[in-house]
Amino acid sequence: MIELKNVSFSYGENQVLNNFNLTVNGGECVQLYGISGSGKTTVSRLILGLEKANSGNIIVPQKTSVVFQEDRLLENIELQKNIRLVLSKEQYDFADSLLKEFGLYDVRKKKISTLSGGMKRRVALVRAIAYSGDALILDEPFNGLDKDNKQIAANIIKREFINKNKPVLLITHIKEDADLLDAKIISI
Amino acid sequence: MISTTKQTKPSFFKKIIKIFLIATFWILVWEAASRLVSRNNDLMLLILPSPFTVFKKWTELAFTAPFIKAGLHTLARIFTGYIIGVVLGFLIGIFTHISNLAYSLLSPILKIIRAVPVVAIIILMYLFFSSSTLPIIIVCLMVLPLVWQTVHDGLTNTDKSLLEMSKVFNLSKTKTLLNVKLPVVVPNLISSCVNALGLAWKSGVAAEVICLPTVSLGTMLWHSKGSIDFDEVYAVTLTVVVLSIIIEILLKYLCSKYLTRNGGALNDRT
Repeated sequence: MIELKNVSFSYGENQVLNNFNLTVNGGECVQLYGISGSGKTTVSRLILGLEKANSGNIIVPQKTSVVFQEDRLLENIELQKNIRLVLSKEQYDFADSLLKEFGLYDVRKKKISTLSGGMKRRVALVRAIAYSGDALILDEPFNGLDKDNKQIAANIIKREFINKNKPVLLITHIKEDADLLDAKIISI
Repeated sequence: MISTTKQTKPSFFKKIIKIFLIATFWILVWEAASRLVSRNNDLMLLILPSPFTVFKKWTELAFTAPFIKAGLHTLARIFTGYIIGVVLGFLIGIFTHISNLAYSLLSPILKIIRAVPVVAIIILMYLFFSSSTLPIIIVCLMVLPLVWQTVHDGLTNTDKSLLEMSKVFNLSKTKTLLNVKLPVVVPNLISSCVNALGLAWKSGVAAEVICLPTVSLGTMLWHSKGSIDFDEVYAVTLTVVVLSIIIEILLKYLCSKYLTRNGGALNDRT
């Protein structure tokens, strides 16, 4: 479960969150919906421990997978190595099977810098799913993906997280992306 | 209509022609200057001999055993000092990045070494080291701060978003250092090493001229000056310059091969 209770956060003088509450139960996908600058990404940063709240409580599983808004991949390293870097050896086979599902297995030895934007996005998704966190944070996860790849990604996320009773927080302003994951919408 | 411009790298042949023309131009300038200063006074030819006289002297010297031996000794000293400086600079760069205390303690020393004139360091160090060891120490001291600064700054200024990724995915400090931070440092480090090579030659030969090891190009330079054999001074200097250029070209070639393989590019103006 992911839970934020009465969380307040400000960047200097700029109050971004004021007594914000959010609960994402296991097996549930929640879409955090809001206009740009409303604090959606700040919520994900607080959950991931990249920012500290001024006040309030945040309860998150110890191991959380994430797809950042940007790909955050190591450009000069091979695709497969990028993924394996965050995994234990026991997870390698699972990661390879995900690469096959995402249609990336044949290019696994290519450097990230040589891949298209859509391919990089899929690599970021594979990395997050293969990491097998107890929760998943998705920040605009389907950016640059075509309809088919979005559907494939959504199906795998449902199978590996939602169906396994893990919470998924989706941050996007695209309604169709939320529909793919049957997400419950919460406005911010 | 769409127009495209194709940018191609100049061919190897064109590059050679360009280098040849530039070299010819400066040799002609040198020849003109030599003739000009010696027009009314032949003695001036001693101080600024013509390039052809120097080249003749160089061909006389270049294949003699003492000269080759001196060249090899100088090369060995500079190479040893350079390698030690690069390795130590690299390791200290990592160390000062990891430990704030180490940075606080070592950075003033390294910055002072970089700021103090090389001649002053040579004279001071001469009190502690033998004449054949001193050039190695001096080269090392010139190269080390340059490499240290590049490694330390590179590691400290790693892309914040990648560091956040490392934190979220629980990467160990070693994994983060080896896979996230160091690959970013390498291209700048290589440029720094190429720059440091020029500095290594200058400081190494300067140290040899001051402390006069038994066998070295610096010692030959000093003795040539003492015996007012300026042809030899120029010939030895020419050798130092040519050796320095050859090694720099070799290093640049190896580095650009490495960077091409790893998706980077060497700053060609280094």
